[in-house]
Amino acid sequence: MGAMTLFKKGAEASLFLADWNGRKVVIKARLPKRYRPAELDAKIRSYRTAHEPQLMHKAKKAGVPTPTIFLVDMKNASITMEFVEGKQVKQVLPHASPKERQELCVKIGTLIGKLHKHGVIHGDLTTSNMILNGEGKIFLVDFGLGEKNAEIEARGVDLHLMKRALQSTHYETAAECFKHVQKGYAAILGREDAEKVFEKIREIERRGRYVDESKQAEFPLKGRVVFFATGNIHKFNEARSILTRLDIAVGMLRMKDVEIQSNSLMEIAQTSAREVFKRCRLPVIVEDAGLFIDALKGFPGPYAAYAYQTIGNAGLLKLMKKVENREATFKSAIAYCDSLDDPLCFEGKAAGEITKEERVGNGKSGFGFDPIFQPSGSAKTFAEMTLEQKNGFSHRAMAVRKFAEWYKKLQ
Amino acid sequence: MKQSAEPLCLGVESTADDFGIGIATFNGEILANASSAYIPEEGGIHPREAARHHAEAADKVLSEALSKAGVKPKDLSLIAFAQGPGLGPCLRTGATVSRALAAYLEVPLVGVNHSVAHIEIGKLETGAVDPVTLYVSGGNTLVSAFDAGRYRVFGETLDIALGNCLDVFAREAGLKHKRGLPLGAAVEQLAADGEKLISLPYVVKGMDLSLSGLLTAATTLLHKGGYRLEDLCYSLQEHAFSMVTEVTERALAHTEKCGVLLTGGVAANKRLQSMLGIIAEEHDAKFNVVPRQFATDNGAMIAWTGVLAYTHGLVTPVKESFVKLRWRLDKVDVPWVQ
Repeated sequence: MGAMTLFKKGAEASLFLADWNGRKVVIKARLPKRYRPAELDAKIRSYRTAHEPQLMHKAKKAGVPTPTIFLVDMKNASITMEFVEGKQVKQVLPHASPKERQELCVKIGTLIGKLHKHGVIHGDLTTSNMILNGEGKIFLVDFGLGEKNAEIEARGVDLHLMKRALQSTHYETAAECFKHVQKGYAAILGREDAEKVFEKIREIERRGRYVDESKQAEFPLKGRVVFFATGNIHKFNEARSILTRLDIAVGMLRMKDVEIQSNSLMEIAQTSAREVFKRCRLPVIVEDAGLFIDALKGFPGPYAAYAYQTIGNAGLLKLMKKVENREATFKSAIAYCDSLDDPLCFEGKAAGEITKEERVGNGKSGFGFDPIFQPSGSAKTFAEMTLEQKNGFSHRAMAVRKFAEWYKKLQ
Repeated sequence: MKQSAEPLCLGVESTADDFGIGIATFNGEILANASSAYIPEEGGIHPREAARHHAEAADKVLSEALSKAGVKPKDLSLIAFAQGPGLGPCLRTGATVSRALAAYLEVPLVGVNHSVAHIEIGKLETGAVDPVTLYVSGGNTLVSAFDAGRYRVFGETLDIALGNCLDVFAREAGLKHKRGLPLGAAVEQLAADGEKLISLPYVVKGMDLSLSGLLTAATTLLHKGGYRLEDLCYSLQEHAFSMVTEVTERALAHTEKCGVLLTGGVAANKRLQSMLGIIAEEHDAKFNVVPRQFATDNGAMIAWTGVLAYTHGLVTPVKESFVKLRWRLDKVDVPWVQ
């Protein structure tokens, strides 16, 4: 071993540059910490020295660039590894153009996604622990606090750390950067699994007492009470009948509709929910429903309410007069919002057919296109059913139930 | 009677179990720092019970502060109060007292962040300059340092606070409040006679740490029996303090600041002080500990921070003086720090 030069004194370990058989290497030495008892110190240092190479190897196998390890010296708690020529992302990020920044962050998200997918938690995801080499490859270093763990909790804490690191060192662009990290992460882990981790991050943020005041609604009855923003009393009654049975009290918020144009029910519901939340700062749900008729290529879709007001049931039946295929689906999307984060969405649908004529029962439960929609497995249209019967079939009831099951857990 | 030409600020602290009133001059002289603590008969702090205590104690604490400072209410130029973070009912009691005082005396009101106040009183009393601060109390455990207009949070507990961890363990062990001493002090006394280090969870995740696993493990061993209480207290402290010290050291290495400040109720612990002293020395940083009377929650720190805020153009109109239960340290602009 040639001469060693100290090039970084970290809190956890000191890094030395050295020459090892003609190679430029980094020696990471965990020096004893005087502040903690020798016994505890030895335990922590040897544990981390043994684990770090294992994790780095696992990360490499997962497709995440990490320095190659040459030597592990348990006695001195030191690891000899490849020196990666490059710059810390911490130094690069502030000078990057918005486009470069986006690319870097997406790439970082991808790497974290790969780690997590293979059960590796880095444990110290900061931009100082990421080295960008000349070929644009990002190396992850310092796995000293990492662990093998595939639990959502561990993933959430890990990714939350990345968010925190961005906020403390790159606060001007932190929000945007983290969004791109999330994008890259979701691309690897899949939207569904990634969303679970993102939800965990929100939970972690709620756990501490340091929740961002501007984002978090101060509402003590979360999980027990929710507000349904709608101008439609029928929708409200349907939802209330289900929610009260599940011990969730619901209040109606009469809000002026937020008009947005979109072909996605989910997007409409989410956007509206966020708008409503901004105005009232209460936990709110917003529902958007649509009727998708197969023969009409999905018309009226999200524009069901508009179509109903303009052409009504009679008009729609007229459109369908000579049509054989009468299959149609009612869809519902419920968005829940209690912060400025993306609202959560719950969907429901009911398959059925468009009847030949309007059929209304004695009860007054139906509204809108209910008199011409007969769900599969029933001989009655929605408008011929009681509210309870309709809730057994309807798209909205399904979405409300999904929401309620999730919401109860917040209690 | 003090013949002070200097304007005076009265600060009201009521974020948790202490109700405190302090009086500071605009030059940073603390003239009074009176307080009354709510001590639950058993268990932890019940927010409404604590708030009731505060409402009942307010009058007495206010008179005590005024007489200690030797001033009359009409001598006050400014009322500051802890607007958050903290327990809702307790915060509201202090806010009500403060609004009433400000309205009656026709002086401005300024809402202060409790965590900022802990840092500011530490800086005022010790002369610390731009330090990395470890703020440890019953409700908070965080490492922060100033950067670009705010105190940024570099690390914090992911679950319970350090003081809470020690208090809960003490209660589980049946330790009682000694006169004027918090429960954590009882743990510290016993720990001094600890001989054997019992292995417990040590959880540091980057700059953050987690104490709930440690507390559960220590409590489980306590109830299982077969361990000396002194050894358990010692091991609990060594693990928990090593964790916060490691995190502080990480922040120190990262920010390359030249000072370390220890503040909050747990700052009085000698063992924690010695650990932080060591890392400060190793990084060539100056180490300061806030004096005991300003370590726990107190009105003086609110008064002084109120002065800083007010003299930098900040006031809180009554209609914006609602309490902020979860007001993060890093959401507060501190224009007085350069």
